[in-house]
Amino acid sequence: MKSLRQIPATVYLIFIYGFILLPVIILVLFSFQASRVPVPPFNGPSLQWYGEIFRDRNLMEALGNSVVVAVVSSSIAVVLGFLGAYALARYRLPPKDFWRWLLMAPLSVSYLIIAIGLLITYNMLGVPKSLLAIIIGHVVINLPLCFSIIYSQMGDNQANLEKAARDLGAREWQVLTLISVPLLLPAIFASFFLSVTLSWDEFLIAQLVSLFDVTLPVEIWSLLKSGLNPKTNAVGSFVFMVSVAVVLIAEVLIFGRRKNRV
Amino acid sequence: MSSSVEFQNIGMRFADSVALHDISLHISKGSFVVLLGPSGSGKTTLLNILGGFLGPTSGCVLIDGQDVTHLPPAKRPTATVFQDYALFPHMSVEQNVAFGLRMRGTASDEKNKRVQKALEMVGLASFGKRRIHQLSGGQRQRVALARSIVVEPSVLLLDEPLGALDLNLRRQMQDELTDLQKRLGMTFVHVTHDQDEAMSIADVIVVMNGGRIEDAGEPERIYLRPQSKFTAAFMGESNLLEAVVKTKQDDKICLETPLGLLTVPGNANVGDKVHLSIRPEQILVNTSNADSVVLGEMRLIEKQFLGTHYRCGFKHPSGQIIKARLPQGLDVPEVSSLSIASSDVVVLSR
Repeated sequence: MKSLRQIPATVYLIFIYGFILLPVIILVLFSFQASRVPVPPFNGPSLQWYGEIFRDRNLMEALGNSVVVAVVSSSIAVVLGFLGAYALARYRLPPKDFWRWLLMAPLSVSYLIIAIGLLITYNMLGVPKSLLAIIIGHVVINLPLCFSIIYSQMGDNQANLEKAARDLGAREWQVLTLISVPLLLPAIFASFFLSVTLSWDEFLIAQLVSLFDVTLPVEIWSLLKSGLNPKTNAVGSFVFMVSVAVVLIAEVLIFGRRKNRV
Repeated sequence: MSSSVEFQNIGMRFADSVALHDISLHISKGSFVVLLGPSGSGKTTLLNILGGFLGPTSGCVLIDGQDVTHLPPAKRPTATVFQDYALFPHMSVEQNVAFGLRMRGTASDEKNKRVQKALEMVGLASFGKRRIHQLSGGQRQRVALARSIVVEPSVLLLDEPLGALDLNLRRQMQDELTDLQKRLGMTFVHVTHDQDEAMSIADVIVVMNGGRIEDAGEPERIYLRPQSKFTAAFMGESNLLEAVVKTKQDDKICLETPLGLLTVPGNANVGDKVHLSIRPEQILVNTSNADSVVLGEMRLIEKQFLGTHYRCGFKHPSGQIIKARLPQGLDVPEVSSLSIASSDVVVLSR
């Protein structure tokens, strides 16, 4: 009886995971294709297309740009998110909830709208299409996430610890660096790595505000315009694997630490 | 090493409530003062104002005669032991205790010496390298104490520090606190809602209720001669009888009570409405002499054996119930005549 009842659940499970993962599996599988077209039958495995992408100077340049954009924009978003969260969690700034709402608002706006807004603003301010323009755009989309993750972890318990530190003579910057930041490290790491993965494969904003210096997703887009080939699969798989690696690093750093405490 | 504290007309108003009404209180140097009251009585607010975590809406706080009302916590000669201990979970026991000295830039040799001494003082000499999560509740409590006393504050503030401990541990920590206070000679200001705890540790108890000081004095005086109805009821069990003053003669007054007319020592005006407080353990059964106030014949309706004593309930023909604590082994007849030594009767005019 029990095994019978489990059948629908199992089928459902297979479908849902198949639906989510199958495209990725196909992408990765055909990146190891030996022939010139990424369609069945599979005749690999071969690493020739991976060799191809690492020899492609445009792609490698775009890869470097992507790393810079991801790390710099995430760092800025985390620092600003932390300071915003600290201010709103510790001080009352009327009108109530307004500032929190305002900081989170970009979460509900589509990337296309944000990109158009950025374009108009850059135009007015005379900011050229560049990596800097992409970095600012990625700070705009990641700041609300960093803010809300860190804000959610700043409970009363932490406020008490800060109070105790002040009582023992700590100045405001010492409270921040010796108490608040170390205690929030898991949330800070989590928001940093989440920002890195989002920035790493963000295409729309990067496409619209860049010109000569582009990031990897934009470069892949221009590759795709010349048709499908296993090279696009290889570079797509590469982007995917880096994202997975970042998530794994975050897991180890955040949950590894947590096990040592409490 | 020790300071006096003076609250002058402290008022505290929050957005929608008044937490303190015009509090004035003197705490003398080196004394162990307990702020006692139910939750919402303002005792923690008063402690927070002394520690510098809250600024009063009116009035000022003096420590050794110096106005500290507007100084931040770090600049006051006070240190606080928090209710939830507020130990830093990412630091070892040693680092926690050393934190205050580190903030003061104490040289590392002297710092280590003082940290070790403070840990010895609370009986945790060998625990320096432990992490906070490896400690029991009682040990955390001691680390919090060590962390506060190592900076040698002249006033130590304790915000319900024993609330989370079980009864035996609480008793033990009470003894250690009083012992520590005597050895250090610091002024301790301790907040609690537990009357037994207050009586066992305090030199002076300050009873608070509804943002006002109801009574302040030595534990014995507070318990035996409370100055208000609230204090009498809050400090242990008491039989409170409503009464009206009928006649007054020398230092005796005659009261009309639910038990009938009683003549007791006291001072009040004819026509005043007062309360009579009678402690259950002061009630005598079938023994009276010239100096006692006879409460009347009553029927025994309830008798529980509680180890050290019997807890009994008596019913007066008027319906009034009188609670009494009688010695173990006493044979209590079905109907008894209750009385109390006239010196034990307390007449409360507020």
